[in-house]
Amino acid sequence: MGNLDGLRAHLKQWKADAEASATDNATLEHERAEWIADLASLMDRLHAWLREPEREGLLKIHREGTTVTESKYGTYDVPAMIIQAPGPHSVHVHPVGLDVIGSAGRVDLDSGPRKARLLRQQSGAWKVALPSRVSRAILDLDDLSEETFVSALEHLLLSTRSPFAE
Amino acid sequence: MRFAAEWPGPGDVLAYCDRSIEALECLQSVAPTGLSPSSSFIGMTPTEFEAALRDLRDELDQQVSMALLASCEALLRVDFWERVDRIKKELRLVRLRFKELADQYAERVPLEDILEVWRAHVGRPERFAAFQEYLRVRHWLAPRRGRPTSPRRR
Repeated sequence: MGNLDGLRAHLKQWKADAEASATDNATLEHERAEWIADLASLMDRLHAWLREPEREGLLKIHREGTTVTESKYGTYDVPAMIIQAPGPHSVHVHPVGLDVIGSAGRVDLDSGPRKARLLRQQSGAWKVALPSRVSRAILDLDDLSEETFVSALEHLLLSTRSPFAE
Repeated sequence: MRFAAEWPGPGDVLAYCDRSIEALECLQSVAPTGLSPSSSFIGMTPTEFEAALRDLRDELDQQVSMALLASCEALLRVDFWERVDRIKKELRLVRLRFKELADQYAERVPLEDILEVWRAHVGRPERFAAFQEYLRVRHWLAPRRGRPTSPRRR
């Protein structure tokens, strides 16, 4: 039979832990504001790397907004982007959240069933995460740069080409 | 097919289950700070992580259920052939009935028929009914794993 006193002791401990680690609203708002500002500069950076194919009419970039809801940070507006290639090929770049495991924020790059992630580090730097070719249990991580971003786009866009295309 | 006596016993399967649950609990507790940077859990939201843990637990339950039934089936079949081959000589009526089944089906005696012999000998039909229910779940799981349907009740 369960021991209610034992359970109560655990619950009290968890409550104390939660209260000790809880940040006040002002801190949460500050973290959220920093996150949104980082997202804006990230979108600018990604867009800048695609200016040339955009000018050549090979890509269309749609900057837009979306909303994110997180239990810790509430509902807020964030910038997002659609990278439209000729034909039905596109990549949606959209923030997922700030409260994620082992990282200080995540932005997803989706193209149909293919996905890549941009993971914000505590330092504010970004990493590109792709499913590893070695094992599905791990991610291949690279610092975000023009080269690694374009490589991730290739992974997403080229794999969506019809297998019957010439 | 005859089963080897080295087939993992039900106790081995249950130990595997306990250790796997412990490993999942360990993963849950270290996730906030202790994961490898390349872990596939990195970047998951709390909701996604909980769903991933639930999926792993469901998968474990299904695997263990299958392995447990396979282990019990192996015990019953090893015992069946030991009686047919007269390695075990007690329970003459059971052995005679098993011999008839072996003559009828050769190496492919249905498990249900073996169980029926034991049910007639032991009694306690409620326990055999429960085992039959587990077998039905296995028949449902084996070819249909992952489909969102329910086992059909007879």
